[in-house]
Amino acid sequence: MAEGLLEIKDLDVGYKTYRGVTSVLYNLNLKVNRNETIGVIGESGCGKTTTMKTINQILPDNAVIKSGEVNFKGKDILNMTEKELVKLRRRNVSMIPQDPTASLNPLFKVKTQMKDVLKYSRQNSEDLDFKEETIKLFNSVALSDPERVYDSYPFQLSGGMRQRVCIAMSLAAPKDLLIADEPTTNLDVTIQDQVLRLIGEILEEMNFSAILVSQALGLVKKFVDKIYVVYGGTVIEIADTEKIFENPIHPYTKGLIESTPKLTGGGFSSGIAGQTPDYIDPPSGCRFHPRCPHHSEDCKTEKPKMREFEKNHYVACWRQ
Amino acid sequence: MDMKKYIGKRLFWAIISLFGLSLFIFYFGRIIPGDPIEMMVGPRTPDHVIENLRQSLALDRPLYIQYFIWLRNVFQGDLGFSIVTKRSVTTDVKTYLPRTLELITYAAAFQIVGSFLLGIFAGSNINKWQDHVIRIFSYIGVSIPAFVFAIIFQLTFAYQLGWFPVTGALTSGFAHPPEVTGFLGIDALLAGQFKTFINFVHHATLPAIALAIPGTAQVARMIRSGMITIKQKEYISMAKGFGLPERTIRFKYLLRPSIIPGVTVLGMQIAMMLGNAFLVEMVFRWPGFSRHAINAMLHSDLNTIVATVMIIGIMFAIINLVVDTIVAYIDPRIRYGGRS
Amino acid sequence: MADEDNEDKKIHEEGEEVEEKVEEIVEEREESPWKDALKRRWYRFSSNPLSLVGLAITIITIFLAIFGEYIVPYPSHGGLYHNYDAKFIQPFTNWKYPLGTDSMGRDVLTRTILGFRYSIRMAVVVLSLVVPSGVVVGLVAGYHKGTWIDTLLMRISDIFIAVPPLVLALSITAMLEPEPFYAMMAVSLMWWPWYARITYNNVSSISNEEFVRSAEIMGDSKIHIMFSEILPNCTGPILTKMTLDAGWVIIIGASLSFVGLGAQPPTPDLGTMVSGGSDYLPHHWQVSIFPAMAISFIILGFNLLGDGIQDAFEESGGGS
Repeated sequence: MAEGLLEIKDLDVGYKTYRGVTSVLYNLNLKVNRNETIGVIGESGCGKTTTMKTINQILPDNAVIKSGEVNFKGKDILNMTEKELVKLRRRNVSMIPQDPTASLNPLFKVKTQMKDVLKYSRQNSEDLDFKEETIKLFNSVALSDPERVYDSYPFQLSGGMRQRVCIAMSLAAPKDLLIADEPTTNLDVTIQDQVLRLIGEILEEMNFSAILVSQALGLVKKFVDKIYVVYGGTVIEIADTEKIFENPIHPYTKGLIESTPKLTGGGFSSGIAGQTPDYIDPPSGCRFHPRCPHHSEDCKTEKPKMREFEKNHYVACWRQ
Repeated sequence: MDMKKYIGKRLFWAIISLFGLSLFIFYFGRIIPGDPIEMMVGPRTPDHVIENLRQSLALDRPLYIQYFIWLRNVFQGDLGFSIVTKRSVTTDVKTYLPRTLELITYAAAFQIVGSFLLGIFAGSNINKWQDHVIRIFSYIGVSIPAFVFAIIFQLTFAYQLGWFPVTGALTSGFAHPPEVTGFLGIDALLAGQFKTFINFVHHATLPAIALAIPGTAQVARMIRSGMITIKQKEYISMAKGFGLPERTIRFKYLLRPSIIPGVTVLGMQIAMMLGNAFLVEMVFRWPGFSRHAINAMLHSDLNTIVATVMIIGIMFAIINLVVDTIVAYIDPRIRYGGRS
Repeated sequence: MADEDNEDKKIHEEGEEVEEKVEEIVEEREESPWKDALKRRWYRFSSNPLSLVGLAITIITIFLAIFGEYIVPYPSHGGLYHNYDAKFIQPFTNWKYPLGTDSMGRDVLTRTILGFRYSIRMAVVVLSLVVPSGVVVGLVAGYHKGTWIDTLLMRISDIFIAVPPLVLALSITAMLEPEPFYAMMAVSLMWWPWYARITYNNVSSISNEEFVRSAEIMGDSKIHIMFSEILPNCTGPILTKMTLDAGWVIIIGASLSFVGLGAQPPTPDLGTMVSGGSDYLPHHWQVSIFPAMAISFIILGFNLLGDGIQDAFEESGGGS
């Protein structure tokens, strides 16, 4: 049994809205072992970003964590003090943001922001040559013309360059877990592939545990060991990467695979009819049942439990 | 360099606007109220005197020529003759304007310090009691006009409690210091008359606070809501995600973008005081330009009215230019002309 | 032939039926988001109790402005009525004159209530002149952004913004006549540019949007595009500004009266009363303080209401 690094148990998270408190994450379970890279796959609006933001506790103010555990190295993040959380963010968990254009402060030069990240995430940072370190990091993420980037404001850089800066920030210090939350969704199609390959190289070289979030299975299959398919805020299928392609069980997973766009393709061209659920009044039972071509009465009344289909392949579906 | 270009552009358009304003106010003043000569002279003035006056003031020439003559005079420092004070408008300006500028500077100091302290304090304690108290203050501050504050302050702190003098700028026993700059406060300090200076400041405090409050409330509100807006930005949660300390985030990455709308409005509010000073000076019988201008307005003293509009227009333009410069300094996106 | 005709007719009828159904569905769809948007706006508006207070104050204000003269105890006190035996009765000492009397023995309560009408009239007249004209200028200039029309219109409007509104209103009224009518004209003359500005800013950001372009491609007339496509999207900011401005216009109106350039005595105008009463400070404070409080009450209502409307129209995205 591999050693667990992160284990999310029965996590329920919602947001306060004008119509009441939503139920976005619903009994979400997820596990990352040491030196393992998992892929979290699902359409947008399935709660992937919410899950990731719960891990390092940077959810928006209107978020409500209703119940569950997020154990990191055996300690529940949800019970940590602010001080412990800051330490966790500096030493253990790193995040590559979804939208690089919104993730850098527009009023400060890249060098200022880089310096602060280095200053607080590196140990013994007093005698660090920040410029040298930054340029080193920029080279490692293949930023062309690092000197110019160093002295620029974020809005003077392209989306792809900004994402490389964000990646450099997330690599500022060695950490246990790297979370890449749809790192390419907001980039030009031509840049997406480059950035994704960069992240793949980093994962290979650095050998840390990682969660790679994406809307499309095809994009991440090269990089991940295991895939978690998420729908309506809960995991519906878990399997090793090859197995899920060979033998997808859940109708949603099947739909995702069928509609997988070309590697470099844009967003998710839905091959599944219907929309992601309404989180104020989510469907009863299996949240996928309104869109499922095979649903039965059971699906409407009771949430299917995760069952082992074969070794290292689990699925939550009533259909045998 | 980009900064210079940006400010230069602003300056250019400000000057264009001021010319437009002078054209408008000049034409409006010459066309609407009727014959300016009749307003100047008494009803029984002989016709030939009127004709002479008309010629000597070039009022028989076409309007646009009159405008250029007027403009030339203005650039030579001649703002015309006041029918109320019976002397040159320029002299009146020199006499009264410094008092108003002193009052407004004093009030602006209150406003800048007060609004930033309150706004940041409220924005850092959203939905706690400190925030609620400041919000109630700011609603009251925004809703009560400055002249009402003036009357209420005068009634309570001057008449009832006697903490401040009721009217005027100096107690009658105090002699004016020798005139060097024209600014009473500065002249008193230059002459070493420290007591006169204190007396002057004591007189100016109530009117200055009455002037400052509405703007202080408005700007504090803007800064508070700016902080709320920016707090929700992705870059703030990412900064948090990278493990930056709360202190650095709040006073560096959050504060700077949050105050931009506040600073813009602060300039507007300081400029608004130029208008409100008219009423507050009236309440406190402050010997300033605004009170003098009101008097001129009530007597349809055209030259003084036009001069007032232009002087305040110029001060307004200067304040806006300063604010634009500050905002461009805070926000590089403006300097570089790109937004995203 | 007949058969064919019948066939055609049948097909035609079927087609109509289908069309009707489609229309029904479309209507339902169109209606529900509209209702939903209204519901959402009301939720956002009412979630702040202060907005409801503002709404209540504004309703009271408008009620007093319309029906004030029918409910005041002494309608004749609005004019030149005098009763020197009852002059300067202190407030809260005589139940016949709860707020006391002024220098001519007139009831302060009566005159204050009657004053609401003059303040509201000022706001209504000025806004109904200023909003349409400013909005049209802003629409035209914003839609023709970058052309000479834009430059000309916006530079002209800049002239009126080049001086604080109160100063220009004072000066213009002084050149005309010190009468409420001229005061309203003067305030209107310098107020429209603010609406031109706000509409302009919104229009120039909207007019690049997809739906405007597609309307252009479909060959819709400029007038139609400006008023039916672009204008509805500026409603929020314009409505907010109108409400907040009602307060501002009332302040300016009161200020004009206060210095003697607006309504003249014995008109029970609030600003005039404050000014007249200030001669009797500090002993007979009721004469100016109660009208002053009334002005502040009206403005407070509009400010709270305006903030509520702004909340209602603000688009904030919830996380997922």
